Amino acid sequence: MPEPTKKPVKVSQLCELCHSRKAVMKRPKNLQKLCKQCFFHVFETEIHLTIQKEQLFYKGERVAIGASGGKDSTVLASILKTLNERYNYGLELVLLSIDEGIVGYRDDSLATVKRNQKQYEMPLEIVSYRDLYNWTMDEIVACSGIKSSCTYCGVLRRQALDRGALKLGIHHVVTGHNADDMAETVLMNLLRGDTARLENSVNVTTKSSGSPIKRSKPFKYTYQKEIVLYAHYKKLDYFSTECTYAPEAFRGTARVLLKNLESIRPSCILDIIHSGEHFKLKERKKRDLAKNRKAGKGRNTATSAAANSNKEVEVRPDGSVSLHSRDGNRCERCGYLSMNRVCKACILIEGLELSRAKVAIEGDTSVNGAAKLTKTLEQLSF
Amino acid sequence: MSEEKFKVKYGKNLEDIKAKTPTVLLPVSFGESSLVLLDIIVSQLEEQSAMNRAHIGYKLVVVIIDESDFDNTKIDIKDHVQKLKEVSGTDLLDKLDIKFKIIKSESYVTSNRLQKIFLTHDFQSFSGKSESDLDLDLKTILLQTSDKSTREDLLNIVRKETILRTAIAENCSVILFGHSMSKLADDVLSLAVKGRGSEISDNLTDGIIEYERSNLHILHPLRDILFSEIKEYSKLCGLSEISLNISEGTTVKKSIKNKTINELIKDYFRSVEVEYPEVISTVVKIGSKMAHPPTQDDFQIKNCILCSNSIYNDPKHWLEQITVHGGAPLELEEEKANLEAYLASVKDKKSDSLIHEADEVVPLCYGCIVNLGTTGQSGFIWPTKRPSKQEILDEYVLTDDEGDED
Repeated sequence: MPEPTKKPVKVSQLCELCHSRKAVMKRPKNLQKLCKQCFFHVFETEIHLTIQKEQLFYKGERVAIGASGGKDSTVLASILKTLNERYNYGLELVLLSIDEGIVGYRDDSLATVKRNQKQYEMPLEIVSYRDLYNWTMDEIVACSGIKSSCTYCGVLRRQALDRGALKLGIHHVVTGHNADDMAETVLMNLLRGDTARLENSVNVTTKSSGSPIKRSKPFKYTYQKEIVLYAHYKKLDYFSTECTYAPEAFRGTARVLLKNLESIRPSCILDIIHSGEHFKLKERKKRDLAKNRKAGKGRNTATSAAANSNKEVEVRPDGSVSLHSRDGNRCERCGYLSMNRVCKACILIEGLELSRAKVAIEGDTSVNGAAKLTKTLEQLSF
Repeated sequence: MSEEKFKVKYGKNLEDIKAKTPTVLLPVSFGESSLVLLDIIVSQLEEQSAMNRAHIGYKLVVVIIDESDFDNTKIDIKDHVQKLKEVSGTDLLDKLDIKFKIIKSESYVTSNRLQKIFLTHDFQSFSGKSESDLDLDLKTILLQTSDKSTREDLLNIVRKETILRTAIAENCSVILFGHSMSKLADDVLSLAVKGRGSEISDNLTDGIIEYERSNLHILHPLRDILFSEIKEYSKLCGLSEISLNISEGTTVKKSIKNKTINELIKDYFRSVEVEYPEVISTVVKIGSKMAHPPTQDDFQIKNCILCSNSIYNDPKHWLEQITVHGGAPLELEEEKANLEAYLASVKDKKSDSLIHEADEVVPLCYGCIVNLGTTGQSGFIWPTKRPSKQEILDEYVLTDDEGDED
């Protein structure tokens, strides 16, 4: 049978970049109508430009990709492999996964990572909360309730990634944080009045002095929707279920606001990042010691003496104390980098230990969270 | 407002006292906040004037921007000002020598030269004289864009500039804004969302700004008060009857797609305020702690031709680095044929290309680049260049003769 002759594409239907192929999609970032090839081209090149501009890697560097099996990290692994070969970065890429211990959620997504490992031919290392802290997220939620789940998980995961990387002898972890995440962080820092994070929250690379691990986010300017589209067109294998422990309620409100804003002005995600890059705090006025001395005169000589020697120690509401040499301090208990004497993870774990049941029921599965239940229900049939 | 310069003055030398008495501008939008502030200030001046042998601490000029030419509400501003005077007490206002000025927002356009600004694909901005006769009113200018958020942003630029120009024309050294804490929180977040993060400190900080070589002292006396509190106050004082609840209640019924950025943010704060009441004060507090951003790579600070705000880093450079404008290479014969068809189709349009030789490169801030992006590629006509002090005064004398309110 002769091949049916293709109808020529109308000029108005052509891709706005190459003007030669039929546009198949509207680019979420600027609503340009693009063909598949041009979308891949701009998507990959933009990430390459970010990597070049920030000088993220050096030749021969070993880099761990924080892989959860979700769309962001799957696309990150795929694209870093592509760019590494195309532009000859000379990187040695390793997948690093954290097993938080959420039955029915993380075990499934880890299966995806294991498939990715084969597809991308990269070594894989899995670090579990169970091994590091002797807790799983399911147990933590059973113990402390669902509301604070993200607080625990966030603090523990950060440390787990660092420890996993160190175990592999790697000093650079890349994560799949995208532009939407960055914009959300900027909004959250404003809404929470977080002066400590405001100025640096949008940096592509973060590294505190004294820390052996550098972290970077090559997707800083990449829209979440474009990542989804890229994964879709490239037919990448990823796990798309949301974590069953819902995000913290307040963060949820900011997320909804951002989605609404994006629907009326798609560029607003980049606009917020642009604003975030321009946030600068006023210099904090140094406390006038002379003034303090004057005020303390005749009232309490001990206070003025303390002010003189400048040895005041701030005690925070949670009982931790701030140390004066801020960077490079180590936790007294676990040796992890910490601004305080004891790191946040150790404080959280200690609190959990206090409320852990002294006696356990043999074969008890009630700690398994909502994910497990949903999964069981899904498998039921009449 | 507890500063020395606003306190009552004593002495016999009238000239000396006059020199010491600052003139204060209070823009009134007929929203509850500005009406409440006016009410408080009138009481303060009344108290000051009742003191023995004392002269009032400052002279007040109330400015009302008349937007009735292009909003659909068809409000008679003069009528409203008259009502406001009656509520405050006409005799009292005369006694305190409070002046009311109505300025048409249209004055922002007529006092300037209109220019066409346009943006190329690589985010370079040009300005030049348009071939068409440039005699547009503000309504037509704003209607060049169909994007509601852009129109709102542009209107805010017009309002702010008009207030500053009135301050110069009226010889005021102080401007009082009636923004409540809730409104300031809205402003911080919406500036951040519009990519105007570097403007937050200027918008929120009480202090001296420079405008056309004059120093203006900006104050927000209601910055610690929630809008809900102001509403209660205005109810108690019977001010809500004359307020033109400009934005209240109108957004509830709109669908999200029809809302502007400011409206969405306002709704957001109203909804989280119930459960997290501290959010508003937190946002204002962190906004007040902000400073001007540092510049990078020896970039010379410029002023945006559209909104006059400072540009600290080159937005063109920033955008270029994150947006690729080349397509993927062509492979098939069919694709080449398509390209040729396209080139033939645009050939005719190319002849009247937008950029002329006489057009000059002009600085445009990031926020305005985003605004211009919503207007299409045919360019955007806007009154560029700030008038000098003399030009403002000349323009002002004209409107005075035309019989504006005194």
